[in-house]
Amino acid sequence: MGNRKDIGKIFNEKFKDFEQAPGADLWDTIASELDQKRDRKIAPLWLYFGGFIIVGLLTGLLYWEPWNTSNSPNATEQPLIVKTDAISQDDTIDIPSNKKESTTIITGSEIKNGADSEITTITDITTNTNTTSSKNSTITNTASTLSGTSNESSTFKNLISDKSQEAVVTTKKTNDSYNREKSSSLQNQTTPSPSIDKNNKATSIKAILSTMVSASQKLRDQKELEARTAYEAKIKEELATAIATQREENKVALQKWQDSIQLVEISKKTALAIAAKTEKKSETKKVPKLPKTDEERENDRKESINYKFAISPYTSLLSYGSLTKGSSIDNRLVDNPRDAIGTTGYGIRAEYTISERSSIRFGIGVAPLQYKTEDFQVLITNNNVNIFQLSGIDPQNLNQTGGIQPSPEALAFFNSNDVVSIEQNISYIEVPVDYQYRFLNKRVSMSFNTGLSLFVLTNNRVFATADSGQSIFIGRETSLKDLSLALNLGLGTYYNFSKKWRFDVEPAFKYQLNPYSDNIGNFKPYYFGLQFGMSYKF
Amino acid sequence: MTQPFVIIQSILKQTNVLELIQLIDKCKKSDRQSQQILYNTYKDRLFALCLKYCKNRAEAEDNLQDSFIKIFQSIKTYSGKGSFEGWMKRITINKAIDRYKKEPFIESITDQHLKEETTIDIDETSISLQQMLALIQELPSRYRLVFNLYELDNHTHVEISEILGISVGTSKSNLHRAKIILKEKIASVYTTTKKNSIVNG
Repeated sequence: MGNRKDIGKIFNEKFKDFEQAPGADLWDTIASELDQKRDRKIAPLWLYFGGFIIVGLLTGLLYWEPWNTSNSPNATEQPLIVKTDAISQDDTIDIPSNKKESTTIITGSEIKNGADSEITTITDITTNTNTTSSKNSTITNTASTLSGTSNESSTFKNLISDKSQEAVVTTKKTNDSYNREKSSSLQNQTTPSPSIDKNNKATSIKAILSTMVSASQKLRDQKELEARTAYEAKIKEELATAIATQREENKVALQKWQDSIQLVEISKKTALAIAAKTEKKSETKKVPKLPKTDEERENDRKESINYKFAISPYTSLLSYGSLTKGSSIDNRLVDNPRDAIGTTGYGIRAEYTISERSSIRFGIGVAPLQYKTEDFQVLITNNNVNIFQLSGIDPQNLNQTGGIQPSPEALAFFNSNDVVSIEQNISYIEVPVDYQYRFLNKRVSMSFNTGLSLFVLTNNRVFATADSGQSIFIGRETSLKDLSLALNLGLGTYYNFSKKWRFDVEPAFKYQLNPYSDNIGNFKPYYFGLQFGMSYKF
Repeated sequence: MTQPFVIIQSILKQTNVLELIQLIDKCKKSDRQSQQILYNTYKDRLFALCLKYCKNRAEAEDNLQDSFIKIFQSIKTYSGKGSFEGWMKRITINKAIDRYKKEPFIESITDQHLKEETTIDIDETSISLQQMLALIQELPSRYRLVFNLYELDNHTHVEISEILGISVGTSKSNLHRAKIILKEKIASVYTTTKKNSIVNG
């Protein structure tokens, strides 16, 4: 029990070098199957074609008898005669060699003629070779039957001898030794030997087959060549067709591609047009813009304050006054109530940036000023009106007769109005030159402005105005200079709402330095203007 | 003394290899004579293989025939890498597998089967090779294939599962079942043989 082994191991060891021979004929089976498989690879057309040729050639050979040397038209019938002759004369050995073939051929001819009885007779000849007499008679009968019209023995004999000689020659050519052997015993020769028959037939058939094979081979080669040429032509044709088709397809594809590009172009143009229209619409609708980023704002700010020149037309609200209590008309009117009448001026200013925060400004403007002294008590003495006696007024409504008589209109006015207001209308053309320093230089900027202005006096008239609103021109201020200077002080505030435009608000104080040639009433005039303007920057 | 012998053996082996290569080349050109030489060289070994994998001699011959035809047809695809004999054996085994793989098979494996011993204590020499071959051939086809592949041709269960398209577990249980059957049969044969020998004296 100590030799237990796994069953698998037992088998493994046993079959380790196991070999066994298969059946001996297995290789033949394999070889034949390989042949079949190989043959199957050849185009069946050739197989059928070759078979057809072989069958055709065999049929042709059987019909023409190329191995039979006689080419006479009666060749199919003569072998029978030869046979008869051979048997009767016992001098040839051709009977056996030609017997079967002649029989066959005769049989063929007889089938054609429908003479079955003669086939039987000929068959008898081949089988009963021992009885010469019976053969003679039978063959004679047969020969006579075959000859059809003539029964002459001489003719037969001639034919027989001719044929026999030819047959002998043929046989001798093919098998001399056999002939020599057979010529010694004529009796034996009358009996056909199967071996001889086979030998001769084999030789002939071999020759025929070789001819057939070579012919078949030639034919096959030729056909193969033709087929190959045809195949190549077909391939070329197919290739040409394929190329042409491909070219056509390429053309179509190209056309399609071009069309698609055109379509794309058209759609693109349409889209662009629609987009442009939409853009225009959006512009017209003023779609609110997206809020700007800090960076954009910073850029805008920088751009808005980044300019070299600015042209600033402006308008200003003006108020005229005096730093002192004095009166420019007469010192006696110091206690009368006085007030400025607000006016509106205008002008234009040019600004040139000299540094980031400073500029020089030049301008020209019109500053109409009005000042009113109220509660003037009119006194008329001997037709002299006291208003014309004021020191600061150069009377204009006085008669030119040498007195101080006023004109009748003035007299009438003053007679009806005993308290009047004295209004001074003064206008200057102002030409300021300022220096501006922007202490705040951002989108909203602020500046301090200082400079000088040249005042050119353009209007100097004094009126007496009644409470009713009626007024009369009474004269001009006597000491106002045509040209004077003023000190400008201003504090500007500006809003740079765009790169090009700026809104200005600038309160300005202008103190006149030398307005009078003779300051009779200790009047220190100034005016205050609140300018509003719009600047164009560039 | 063994050194020259080894050298000569090596030379001979190399010569054989060269001859084999030439033979294969000729077979690739469908040279019938070379095919026959190849057949004669390997037929016995391959037929033994067929006998083990097939049910009987007739089917083994059919299988060998199919295998050689396949070999000659596909010899052009043999690249020269690996053993040529191994290549032929694979073809032969595959042919046998194709033959029996699709055979209907009802598996009746129980746990009890798997627990059974597959070892046996016998005198191996008392049983002939042909008797043992018959035992293999009598096995159900699936068992026979698995048994051959595992025990006689040294494939693993993973390989077998891939070759036969079964699970590894099935391969194992099939093998076990095959061995149980073989064990029972071989025991029976052994007993009979022993009795006969006793009777015959």
